[in-house]
Order: sequence, then C-alpha cells, then structure tokens
Amino acid sequence: MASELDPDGVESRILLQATDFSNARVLEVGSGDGRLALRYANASAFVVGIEPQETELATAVEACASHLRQRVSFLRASALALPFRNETFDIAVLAWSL
Amino acid sequence: MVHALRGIWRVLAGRGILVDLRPLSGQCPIELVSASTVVHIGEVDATGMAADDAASDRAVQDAVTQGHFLARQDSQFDFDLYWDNVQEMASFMGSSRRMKQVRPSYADLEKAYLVLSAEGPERVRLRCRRRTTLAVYRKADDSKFEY
Repeated sequence: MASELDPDGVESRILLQATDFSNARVLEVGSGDGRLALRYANASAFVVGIEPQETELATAVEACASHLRQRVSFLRASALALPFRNETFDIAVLAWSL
Repeated sequence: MVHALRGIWRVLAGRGILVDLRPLSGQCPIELVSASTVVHIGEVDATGMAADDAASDRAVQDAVTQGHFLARQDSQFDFDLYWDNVQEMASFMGSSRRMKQVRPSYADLEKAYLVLSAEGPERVRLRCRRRTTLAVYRKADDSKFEY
C-alpha cells in the first residue's frame, strides 16, 4: 500500500472546482476505500458510495468519521445494477471505475 | 461500460452531472523526493488497462454522440503517489491492475534511494506522478436511454 495517495488533495480540489457540490445528492461509483468520497462529503447534501469489493467497503466504513456518518453511506453494489430509483442523484462520480 | 452509463443516466436527475475521473494510460515518472531535491530515477509502465480505457472512452463518446450526455469540461492533473521506501512501492505495484512494469529494476531504484538518503538527514520518499483526466458531462434534457 502506498504511504500516501494525493497528499495535497489535488484530486478532490479539482473535482470540487469542476462542478457545484453544494446541496447535491452524490453517487460515487467505485468508491473503493472511501478516500475520495470522504474528502468531498462535507461539500454535498449526502454521498452514497458503491463498491463491489467487500474488503474495500469495510475499509471505507471504518474510515468514515462519526461527524460524516449522517451524510455518507457505503454500499456493496455494482454500476451494472444500481439499486436506486430513477433520478435519485444530482451528481455521479465515476472514480477510476469506468 | 454502456450498461453502467445507462444505469447512471437513469439514476441521475434532470440536468444531473456525470464526472468521469480516471488515470491516463502511459509512462509515469518515478522520482526521489526530499525537502530540497527531486531526482528522476525511473518510470512505471501504466498501460496495463489501456484496452479497457479505450473501451471506456468509446462508451462515453457514444453516449455523447447519441445525445444522452453533453460534454461540459475536460481537464488533466497530476495524481501523486508517495512511498517511504522501495519495498512499499513494490508491494503497491504488485497489487495494482494498472501499474506493473518498473524501469529500472527495484534493485537499481533501491541503490538510488540509498545514495540520496545517505547524503543527509532529510526524509527521502519515492513519488510516482500519474496523469489523470477529469471529464464532466451533463445529462441531456430530452434524451431517452433505453433500459
């Protein structure tokens, strides 16, 4: 495992500059260990991260700070069968996953 | 990929935003970095998923061409990965699907690392810079993705 991935937060900064996350309902596809979702979660209404791999999912859940738990959830799911109703989200982030 | 895009289109609200964020295939520089020095010592071949990346590009382009999404923005930036030593880096590469071949050998990287570390008390780390793309699309108002 790398000691540090993107320690300066360039990725999340560019992401937040690219579109308006304020009050947005966000779906992150391929949320992995939650690294990215947890960096922008504060800027949005809520974030749902989906990840097919159980170990990554467990890491994400554990990494989620208590003050973010009302706003962030991680689910085991695949982009090929999204378990959500139509028009549930304002933003979908494909995080290294397409 | 087309199925994934169709599903995302379905769950996005009208005029919703799709952000496609991923590293580009190619050669990534490996550097030794300390507080005062950056030394280029090698490269990582990050072309391991080039075919998948090309297929993703085609799928997104098709979705745009067919009017399901409108392209809004495209930008690139460097995503930095840091390791404290060559063993950590090798371990990471061993588990990576995208990054495999390292040049020169890990033994040569280790020599370069030890030489720079011996020059002073500064912390020396290895850094790999991955060129990454971020593309933004908006769900088209009047499109109908069959699903």
